[in-house]
Parts: sequence; C-alpha cells; structure tokens
Amino acid sequence: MLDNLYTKLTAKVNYKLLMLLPIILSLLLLGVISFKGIPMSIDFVGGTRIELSLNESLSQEKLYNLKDVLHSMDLKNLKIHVSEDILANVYKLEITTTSIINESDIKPLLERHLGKELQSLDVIKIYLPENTSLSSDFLETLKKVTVADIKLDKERNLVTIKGIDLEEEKIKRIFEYRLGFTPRIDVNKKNFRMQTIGPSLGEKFREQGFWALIFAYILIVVVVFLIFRDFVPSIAIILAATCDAIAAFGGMSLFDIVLEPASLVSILMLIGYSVDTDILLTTRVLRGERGTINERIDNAMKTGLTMTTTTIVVMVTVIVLTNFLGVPVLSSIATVLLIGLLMDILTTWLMNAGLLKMYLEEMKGKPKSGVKK
Amino acid sequence: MKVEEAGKRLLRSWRINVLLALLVISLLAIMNIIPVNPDKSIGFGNGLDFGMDFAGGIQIQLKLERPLDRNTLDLEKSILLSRLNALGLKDVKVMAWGDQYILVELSKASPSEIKRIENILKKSAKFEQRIDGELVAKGDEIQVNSDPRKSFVSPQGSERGYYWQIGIKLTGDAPARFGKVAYGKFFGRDNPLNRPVDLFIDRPENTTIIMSVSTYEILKEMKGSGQGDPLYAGNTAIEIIENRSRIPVLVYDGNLSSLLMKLDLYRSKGFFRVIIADSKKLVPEKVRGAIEEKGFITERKERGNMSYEDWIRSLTGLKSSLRLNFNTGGRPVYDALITGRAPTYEEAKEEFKMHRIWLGSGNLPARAYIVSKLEVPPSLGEKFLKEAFLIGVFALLTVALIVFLRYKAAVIVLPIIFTGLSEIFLILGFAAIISWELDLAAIAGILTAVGTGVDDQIVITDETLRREKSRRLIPIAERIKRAFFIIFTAAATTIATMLPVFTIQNLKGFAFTTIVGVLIGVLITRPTYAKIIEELTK
Repeated sequence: MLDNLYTKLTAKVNYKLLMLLPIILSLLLLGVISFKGIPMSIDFVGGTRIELSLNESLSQEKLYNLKDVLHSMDLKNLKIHVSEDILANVYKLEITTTSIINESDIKPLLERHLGKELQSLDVIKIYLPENTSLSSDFLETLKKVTVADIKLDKERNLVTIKGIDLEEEKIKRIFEYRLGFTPRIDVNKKNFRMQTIGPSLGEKFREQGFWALIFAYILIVVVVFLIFRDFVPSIAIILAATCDAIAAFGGMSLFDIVLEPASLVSILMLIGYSVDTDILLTTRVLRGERGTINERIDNAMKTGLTMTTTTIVVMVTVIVLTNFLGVPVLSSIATVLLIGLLMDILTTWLMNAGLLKMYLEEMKGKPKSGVKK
Repeated sequence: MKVEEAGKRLLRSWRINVLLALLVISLLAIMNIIPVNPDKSIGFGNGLDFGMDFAGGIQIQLKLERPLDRNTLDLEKSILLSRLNALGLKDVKVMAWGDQYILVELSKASPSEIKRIENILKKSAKFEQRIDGELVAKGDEIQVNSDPRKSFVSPQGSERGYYWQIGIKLTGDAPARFGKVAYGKFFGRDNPLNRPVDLFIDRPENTTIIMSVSTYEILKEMKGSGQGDPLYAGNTAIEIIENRSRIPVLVYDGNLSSLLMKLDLYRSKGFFRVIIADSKKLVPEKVRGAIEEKGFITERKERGNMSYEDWIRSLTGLKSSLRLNFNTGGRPVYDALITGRAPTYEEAKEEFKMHRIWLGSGNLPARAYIVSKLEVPPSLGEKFLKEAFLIGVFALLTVALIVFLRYKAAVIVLPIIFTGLSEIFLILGFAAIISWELDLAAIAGILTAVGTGVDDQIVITDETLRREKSRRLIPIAERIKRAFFIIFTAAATTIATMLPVFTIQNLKGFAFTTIVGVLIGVLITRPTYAKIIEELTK
C-alpha cells in the first residue's frame, strides 16, 4: 500500500508543483492568523478567571441578566462559558476576561444575580451532642491533619472547619473515632474560584516562550549542519518545522483553540516529530543509499508515513478518549499536534523530498553512486 | 520453535540483562522499596515526587518593582525564604523567574496561614538594632551601603580568623539615637566589656513569656561558659530575654490564679500575646487553656532538642550580637560598619551572607507585589493521573494495532510495546532516584519521549526487515548501523530543541523528561530493541 508512493505521485504531477502546495497552504494559514488572531489564555495576556460550580442549572433569564450585567462592566475580552459535568451533576460557569477584577467587587455582584452565597473555601460544620468536651490536643491534631482553620463554639457545641480543600470522609472518620458515633455534619464545598494574572507576567511568559523557540531553531540548524555538513538540508528541515508550526498556530486560529502554556508543549512536541521525519528522509536520500533518488524517497516515505500515521492515530484516540474522560489539557495538546502532523506529511514528503531531489539533480548533478540498475 | 531459541539467545545477551536489571532498579525506586522517599511507605508510586500540579498546593507569584541582577535576586530570594521559614512553614519553595518575578510554592496551608504568608510577603520584616534593650535603629532607617569597598569578606586570614564587614547607612532619627544610646557602652578597642549591638528580626512585641520555675532557675544561672556563645556578653539568659530583648518573663509555679493576675496586669499595658516556653509537662495545657479563655493569643515554643542558645534566639528573634567597637561620643552616627571574624573563610562568608540578609530584611532589595495566586486542589491531580494513565494504555494499544497492521507480525508488536513500557518505567525510576518533581509538563515529556521511541523502533524495524529485492543483500549489522545514524541525529536535534526550554519555569519538567527519555532511548532501550529484532528475524 505504501510502496513507491513518491514515484507514483510524481508520475502524475510535477514534483516542483507539489513542493509549492505546503508553502501556499502555510501562507494561507499565516493570512488566517494575521486576520483572525490566535485566542490566548489569560496565562499569556493576564486577566481574571472565575469558576463557579452550581448544583442546579441556571435559568435562561438569570443567565441572560448576568451576562447583561457583566457586559456592562466594560471588561475586555469577556467570555462566559456554561458547561455541565453530568457525572457529578454540577453546572459550571466560567468567566474569563483580560481585565483584572477585584474579588470584593465581583463576588457580591455574582451573589446577587445568582441568588446564592458564594464561598471560596470548603466549610464543614460538625454538630456535637451537648456537653461533649474536645481537648485542645484533639483540636491541635485535627488542625494538623486537615491543614485548616478550626473553631470550636462551646456554647453551640459546634466545630467549624475552614480549609482550601477539605476531605470530608477523613474528617468524618476522625470524629467517628473520637466520639464513637457519627455526628451531624454539614458540608459546604467551595463554589467560587478566582484567579488573576498580572498582564506583565503573561507578557514575560510569552516573551520567554518566543525566545526559547528562536534558540531551539538556531540549535537545530547548528546540529543538523554539523551532522550533514550541508547547508541545504539544514534549511529544508527548518523550513519544514516552520511550516508545521504555522499550520498548528493556524489551526488554533481557525478552530478557536485557546493558546495556553500546554499549547507551547504541543508546538515543541510537533517540532520534535517534524524534525524526526525530515532526518529520516535526509539520511536515506543523502547518505550512501542505493537506488535512484525517487526510490530512496519511496523507501523513506514508507517508514516515515508509518511513524506519522501511528502518532496521528494515537492523537485521534486521545481526542476521542478525552471527550469521555474530560482532561481538557491533553485534548488541546492532541488537537494541535494532529493539525501539525497532517501538515508535516505535506512538508516532509512533498516539499522537503522535492527540495532534496532538486538539490541533488540540479545543484550537485546526478548522484554518482547507485544509479546503475 | 524459532522464537524460543531466539528468546534463549536473548536472555544470554548482556544488553537485555542490563535493561532488565535497570528495570528492576527503577521499579524498586518507584515503589519506594529502595527508600528514595524515607518519609513514605512502600507502595506503587510512593518513590515518585509530585509537583504542585498533582500534589496540590498554593502558588503565589510576586512581581518585583524593578528587574534585579543575579546576586541581588538571590539576596531577595533568601530574605523571603528565611522569613517564610521563620513562620514555621516547611516545604516552601522560592524560585526566581526571569529577573523580575519570584514564585513561592507551598504544598499545603490553612487559610489563616495563607493570609499570614501574604502579609509576610507584602510587609517587610520588623528589623531592629538594640543596645541593652534601647532601640538604636529600626526597619527602613538602615540601609546596606552599596559600595563594594565597604562590604566584603577578607580572603586573608590572621591568627584571629577571617575578617568581614558590611557598611551601613543610617537615616531618619537613627543617627542621633545611635549616638546617644551607644554613648558609654564602649570601653576601648576589642575590650571584652564593650556592649553588644543586638540585631532582631521580628522580635515579639506586646508579648510575655511564661516558663516553669525549674527552667527559670536554669536560665537565671546561664552565662555561657568561658569562650561561650557571643550571645551572652556577660549577661545571663534571663537578662538577655528581659533586658536586652524587652520581653517580660513570668514564672509558673503551679499557682494558676496568681499567674493570671500578673498577666492581667501586663494586659493593661497592652501585652496580649503569650509565649509558653516549656513542655506540656512543665506548663500543662490546662494553664494554656485558662490563659486563652482570658483572651490572650498563645503559642508554645519549647526547647525540644535545640541548644539553649538557639532556643533563646528563636524566642526573642535575636539574630546576632556583635560588640560595639567604636566610641560615638554621643554624636550622631550616619555611617557604620558591622564587622565580624570567623575561624575559616567559608564561615566568614556564611556570616557575611546571613548578616546581609538580616540587615536587608527590613527592606527587601526590591519591593514585591503579589500578582497572582493559584490554589491547586490535590484531588484534581489524582483524577488527571488516573485518566492520563488510562489514556496512555489506550495509546499503546493503538500503537500496537497500527504496527500489527503494517508488519502483520505479532513478533514485532510485542517488543515495541515492551520497549515503550520499559522507557516509561526507566524515566520514572530515574526521576524517583534524583527526586525530580513530576508535573503536568513532565508527563507530556514522557509521552513525547515514548512517541519518538516508537518512531525510532519503526525505523529500526524497517531497516532490518527491508528486502533488498534485486540487489545484493546488505548485512543486518550494516543496516542497523544506518538506522542508528538516523536515531542519533534525531536524538541530538530533540535534545537541542529542549535545551532552551529549561529557561521557562513551567516547562522545565517537559524538557527534563524528554531529554532523559531520549537519552535512555538511544543508550539503553533502542539498542536492546535492535538486538531483539535482529534475533527474532534471524
């Protein structure tokens, strides 16, 4: 199935025309990026992210009113996203904006519109039977185990535990053990989470990412040049990696995938995979292989396509699985990689193969060894 | 039959045995049977260290008012860290990020602790210099002279040790106060009667110390023996606490009501904090309860296994007591030198560094602002790890399927899966042994490494299996050599790509596991895979 692919392909279309395809595609995607831009997460541009968990769905009217109020607040790039976790039966409302908001400003406003008290801590209340005395030793231990603030109201026989992330089962067990029976316990999980990131911090992060990419490029050129002692393949490899990265960014722009720190990981992974296939191609074509140039490319292509197909299928599996499991980070990494890898098939086997072929045939003359049949 | 023979030959090969041995070591480390995490029990994954993404925690990002150079940034970091440690927080990490940001990470903290940390980070520590309890200079009245000729450690030692000095500048009311307070405290150069200048960081204010009669008796007699600790300077331990640190000491002799009466008297003067400086045996919890009932804020600071001197320092916030070595004559002092000597150059450097930190803690080199606070619940990480593992298993099954479809031979599928799994375990084992903290990015790095691993194995397989139809057969060894040229080149470029990534704090883990994975791949697992394929296809 994968045999002699390049030979068959170039028999139908001139290989120089094929070379243009990935370049044209990249230019088109560059156009999309400059026109549409890439949506960036607040990690890069700074801003506020608020997550609300509600245990009942929000009426359309309430949601509409809330959106109305938020929009009137002059928040930049405001996005409101409602989702539902079916398994946990929780409705989530995510509000992001690139403006910085104060918790003390937004929280009462949200509370008013949701008709609900919002809390940013887990609170567990334990009602003790009358005349139970808890030693300060016990409370001290409880404090250590739960890493929380603990208040004992002796008059109301009430213990209040406030913490960032409380394990109710553990607390229940501790009290069961201490009292010999299960007391009445009220659990109020936090339903309000807010994070702000200063714009300059985001900028710094973006800047660091940019420089890391530039240095990575320079190092790749140096390494490839040292190994092949030839300028053309080095440039070809960088060109391919660049086109792949453009495709990945273009895909993000086209499908509104938010650029977040994890996306940087996927771009780096992509560059790694992209360089792998190019080195395979370059080695098979330039280093002491037998057969015509087309045959060498055919051979390399068979191996390379197996490699890329495997990765692509794995990415599709990951995307499908994350739809069920809900690990959004992995899903976004996989989607970006998938787009980039599809492009990589074109850049490696149409563009770079063509470039190497042209280089050998036209700049270096016909290869000396292995032309005899 | 053929496979069985190949298997026997393989078991005799040193490559396979090395891989198996390393796998066993990795598993032992991951399971903490090799005790890489002494505080944890044996169990799968207990040898691994998890970063905030998985273990949960709080991350606070600070922005400094201006970018700092390396040395000043280190100073800023040390000051923040020493302050947080003084709060009694363990597992606090303070990391610089670029030249203008500092990340503070802690594993777990209660809401009130977080508030305290935020206050500590926002506020400067309370710095004071006192002579015999009299205030000389405080907080922002003192500044380290930035002239490097004023502050140095002398690399030439004498019989009296290695000399260091730090130049300071006094501003505000401090010069006049220093001149007055220090007058009459100097008796001649290097005279043992010279009074010490006590340097306090966060000296307890409005606080009384309660201790048992027996402890009080010991401290009343304690003067330091002979060459003793420079702390004493002719005073007893009780005098250091009461006179030089200005913290009243109350004795508990079993009579609770008289103690409470004395405390009431102090409260009318604004003393509302109490440090109980003894064990529960000597000053029982019920005493503490009775004091708290009266509305005092209490804290227990028993000596435990500290030396008496360290304990006194921690009770009072006293950091250093260098002797006054010049006569102010009652006149204002604007510039002063803080000097000291230590027996070795290394110790002198350490003393010098600590004093710079202490002197600077009143005012950090650059003011820090909290720009972001992030709380990660540990439950989120657990969920992610489980799901990532599940996805990993499915990914490997997918790889197996594709490889099978391509080569139509189970004999090749199994080694590829085995090699992939080995790589995961070797990377994890290595991370466990060097205690590298795994975060989200690191997991992504492992996936990348295994992904390129599968790619490489396909290259090896193709080179080995290629039927050179009408041409002379190239020996297997030759073909594998060519495959390895591709693999080494790819590995070199991957490592080159990852090196700059080390500069990005959040992605360090990614670069680390990718590089480790690639190295393990080219040095250990891939040659082994080649050997397996070679034997199986013979």
